[in-house]
Amino acid sequence: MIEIDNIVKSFRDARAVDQVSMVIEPHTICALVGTSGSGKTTLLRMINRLVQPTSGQIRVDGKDVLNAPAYELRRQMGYVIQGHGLFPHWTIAQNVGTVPSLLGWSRADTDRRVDELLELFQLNPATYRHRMPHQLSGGQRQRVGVARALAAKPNILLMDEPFGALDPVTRKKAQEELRIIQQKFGTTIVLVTHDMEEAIELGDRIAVMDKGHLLQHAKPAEIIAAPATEFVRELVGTTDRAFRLLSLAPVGDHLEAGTAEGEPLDASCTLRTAYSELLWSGRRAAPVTRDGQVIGIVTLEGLGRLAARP
Amino acid sequence: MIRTGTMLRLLALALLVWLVLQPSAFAAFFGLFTRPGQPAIYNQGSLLSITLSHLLIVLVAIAASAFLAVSLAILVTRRFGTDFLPVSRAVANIGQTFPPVAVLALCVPLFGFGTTPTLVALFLYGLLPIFENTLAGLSSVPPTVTEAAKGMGMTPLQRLMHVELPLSLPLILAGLRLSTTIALSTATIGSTVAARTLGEVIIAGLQAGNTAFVVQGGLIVGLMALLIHDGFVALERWQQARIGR
Ligand SMILES: Nc1ncnc2c1ncn2[C@@H]1O[C@H](COP(=O)(O)OP(=O)(O)OP(=O)(O)O)[C@@H](O)[C@H]1O
Ligand SMILES: [Mg+2]
Repeated sequence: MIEIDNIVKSFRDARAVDQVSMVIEPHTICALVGTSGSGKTTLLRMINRLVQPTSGQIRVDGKDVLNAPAYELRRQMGYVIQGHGLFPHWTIAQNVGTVPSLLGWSRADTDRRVDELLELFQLNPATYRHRMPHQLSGGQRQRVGVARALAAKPNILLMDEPFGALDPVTRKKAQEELRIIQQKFGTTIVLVTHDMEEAIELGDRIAVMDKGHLLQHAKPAEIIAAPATEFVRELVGTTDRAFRLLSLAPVGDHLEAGTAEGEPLDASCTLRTAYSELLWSGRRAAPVTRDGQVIGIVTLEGLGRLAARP
Repeated sequence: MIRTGTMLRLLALALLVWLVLQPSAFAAFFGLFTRPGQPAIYNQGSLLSITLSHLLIVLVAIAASAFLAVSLAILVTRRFGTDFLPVSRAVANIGQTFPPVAVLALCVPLFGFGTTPTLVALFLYGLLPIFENTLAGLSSVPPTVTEAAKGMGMTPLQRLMHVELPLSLPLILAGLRLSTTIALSTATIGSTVAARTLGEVIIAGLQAGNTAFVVQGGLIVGLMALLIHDGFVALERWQQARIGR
């Protein structure tokens, strides 16, 4: 659990973060969104003490982060820096193994972990272990940056726009990987992003910041349905909020009884995908399957109701 | 296939070694520069031992300037050391602008004749290039990289040793190259105050009006400077290629 308590950061005259208080529950993803310069990075970096708060307190699992030496705190938290920040004079393997080495893992353990992570991020270890960062594409470097943050299996992962440089397809994949990792290890993640879509997709909760203030910290559905201020409403976007709402839940959660014709949909796809699929194929309903078994149907009418303002 | 550049360097190296080990083999060539009755080859001491002594003096002086200059540059790039930046700059600058001959003249009364005044002069003269280059190197480390190093949990010392210094290495090497090549030629004037350097050979030639000696001394110094210069350049290139600059 990360408790942020009335935290303020001033740079000379300006307040980059102004009296922010929030609690990030363990094993959840908190997506931090806001326009450029709203203080997201500054807030994130106060959690691992890269920025010294002007006032206020941050506690991790009840303990003030100022209690232990900064470097010990940081080794317990994964950190993905905005713009990857790989060490240009180290190989990919050395980069990914940074924190394990600092923690004194054995060579064999570190190597095994590095290969495991490269594998996970679809970078063939045999090919990429010995490459230097400048020999990778921008997207590959970003993935290595995420792998490096995960190397020592941290309980807390701080990510600053980790998928910014990825194309939509790779980004989608990386987001899925992150979800899987988060569910498997129960990692608590604070994810800074510009992309509302990403925040809604990944965040258990979304925190919206503007000019250093925390405007709203709530579940995605609530942010969409009941934005706290005009700014939040704008950020969420009014034109497609119905679709955003639909993108939050899988069809498996909203089954209807009955029968339907045609290509079945998988229970794990989102309501939004189902809606689009029905419109595309010109059907009013479609069967839904889980593990190949038909478990119900989904209808245009039903989806329409779910998309309406709550 | 060996490239022509490498060939030329190997040739220069072979020439240098041969010249120093067996100067008599070049008697015919140096004979071209003598007047009748003059010896073609320096005969007041072994060229080999003078060359080694010359190199040793340069090595010791540059090692000392490198130690001080790099330490100063590290100090002034730490947060607690920024106040020392102007002072350090001034020290290094004075070292560079003060003519080595003047340093020699001033040092003789203090240390007497011998090697010490030359060491001091070369040491002072070598500070600035290494200091300025190390400073440039340390300040050119990208902030995202130093921030990442911090964020990963490196201690200040680990950041310096594992990230900042390695990334500054190409520039530090460039500073060393400048200082060393300058010192190699400047060391010759040390023989005016009785340091054992190749200046001895040149001055003997000047005094006796024997151009062959002057050419010999000059050639050995020149070849060494060239080879050491090229060696540093190769090291710098290799480092830069690794980082991908
Ligand atoms: N070291 C610093 N010195 C002075 N001002 C700073 C410093 N770091 C950040 N700021 C200011 O604080 C404000 C918030 O910056 P921050 O980097 O937290 O924004 P951000 O929300 O992460 O923006 P972006 O989305 O562009 O990354 C900005 O106005 C910025 O100029
Ligand atoms: Mg930022």
